[in-house]
Amino acid sequence: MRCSALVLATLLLGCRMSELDAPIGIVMRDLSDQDAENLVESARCWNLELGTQFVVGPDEQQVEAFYDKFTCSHGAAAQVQAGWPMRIAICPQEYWVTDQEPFRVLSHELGHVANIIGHPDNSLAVMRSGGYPFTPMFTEVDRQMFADANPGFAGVDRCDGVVRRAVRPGTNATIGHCVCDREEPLDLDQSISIVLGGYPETYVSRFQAALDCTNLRYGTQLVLDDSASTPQRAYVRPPGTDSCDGARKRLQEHGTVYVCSPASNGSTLFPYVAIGEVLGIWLSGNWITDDPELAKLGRAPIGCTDIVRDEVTGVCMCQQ
Amino acid sequence: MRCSAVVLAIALTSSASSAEPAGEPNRVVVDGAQELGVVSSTHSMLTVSYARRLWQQRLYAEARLGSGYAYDLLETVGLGVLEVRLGAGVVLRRDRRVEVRIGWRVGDTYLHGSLNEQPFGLHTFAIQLAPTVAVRLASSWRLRITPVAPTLYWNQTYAGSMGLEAGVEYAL
Repeated sequence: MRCSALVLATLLLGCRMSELDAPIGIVMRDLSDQDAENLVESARCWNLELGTQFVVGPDEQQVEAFYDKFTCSHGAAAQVQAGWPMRIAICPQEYWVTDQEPFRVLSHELGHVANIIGHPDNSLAVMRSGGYPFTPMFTEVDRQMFADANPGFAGVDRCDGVVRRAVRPGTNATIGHCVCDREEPLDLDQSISIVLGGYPETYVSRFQAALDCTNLRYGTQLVLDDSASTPQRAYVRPPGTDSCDGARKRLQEHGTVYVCSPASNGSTLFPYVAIGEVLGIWLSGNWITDDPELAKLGRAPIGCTDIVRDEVTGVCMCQQ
Repeated sequence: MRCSAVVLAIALTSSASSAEPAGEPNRVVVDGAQELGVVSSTHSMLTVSYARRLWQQRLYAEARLGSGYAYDLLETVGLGVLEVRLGAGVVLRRDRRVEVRIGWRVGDTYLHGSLNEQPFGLHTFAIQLAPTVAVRLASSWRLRITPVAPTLYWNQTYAGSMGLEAGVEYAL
């Protein structure tokens, strides 16, 4: 059933705004590129976790997103109103009276488009303010409210582990991001590009040396590269730039890996830990323990096995 | 539509022999209102209006000008409000002491001020239902109360409020 009544009437009558068994087209009217991308990413996260079918562009049922100053006067960053089409009215950001991220705001509003009414007590729920990066994006109460609002809906192509990230790489920290976290072995016979961000130059040079040593010993093709679009890429950031609260964490979506790893304490061996996070194993820079770890990935020392490492620079030389 | 017809019928058939003093076609009103926001900000308003009686004082038309303050319940928003309304209605009951009226008002609500230190101004269309009871206090003075005045606002999105008005009315 499609409702053309007011939101208030919707609340009072229990009328559902959307039929989730069919696609819901998102039509963006004059949104900035940044807000449009945040909305698309928010929709992707709902599709991943709950199996909704938000699509970009017109469809039989659709929601229109646009800027609306009237919404600002209520003290809201955005709101959803029922009708045909449904509408997401977004207060232009210059009028936002509280410090909020567009991705969180728009993720929240899509929950209302998906028939969720009201807000839970849990402030980490998407239907409140949302949680921390590198933690599950949707909380149990989000899932429960969604199930209550859409009884019998099973969803398609759902991912059990949608994890929130602070920003999508390459977007200058303006677009939110979520990842369907699934561990899959990387192909060590293929190149793996590693993009470092937010580390001091001294750490980058030690990281480069550790990559070179790893490639020398195991014949891998780990490269520091922030431009090539290789199928296998790893984004490595320190906690401050990705808000992952200081702990090392790893997420993987197909061939793309996201690692949150603290900067070096000055040791030339420290970058090996981050490289291990990229590969999904525990590395220390000690070949005696690292060889068995690489063996888990089916990779024996196929390059140089007699390596001497400069303990100051971390640079390796092959003695053979 | 059917309700409107009934209201009009009641008005037109209401006692023509009522004890309303003849010749008070013009009224000046000052009233205060508290409009609780429903999917909108809450308004506190002070309004001055001029009303003219028509057709043997069975109908009326009015023009209203109000000023006030809009805020949300979390007090993150504070905006000035200017309201301009034109209204019309019927007098349902008239006697020497009490009048009961119901009317519609339409007009513009202008919200102005600043949000997040940015200049803000916005016109919204408003339509309001105003059932009013007026009680005579003295020969030319009445106390008037509109206990429930629902208003619907529109500018791309809709919003609503539920108002309570109280004021005094002077017959010219």
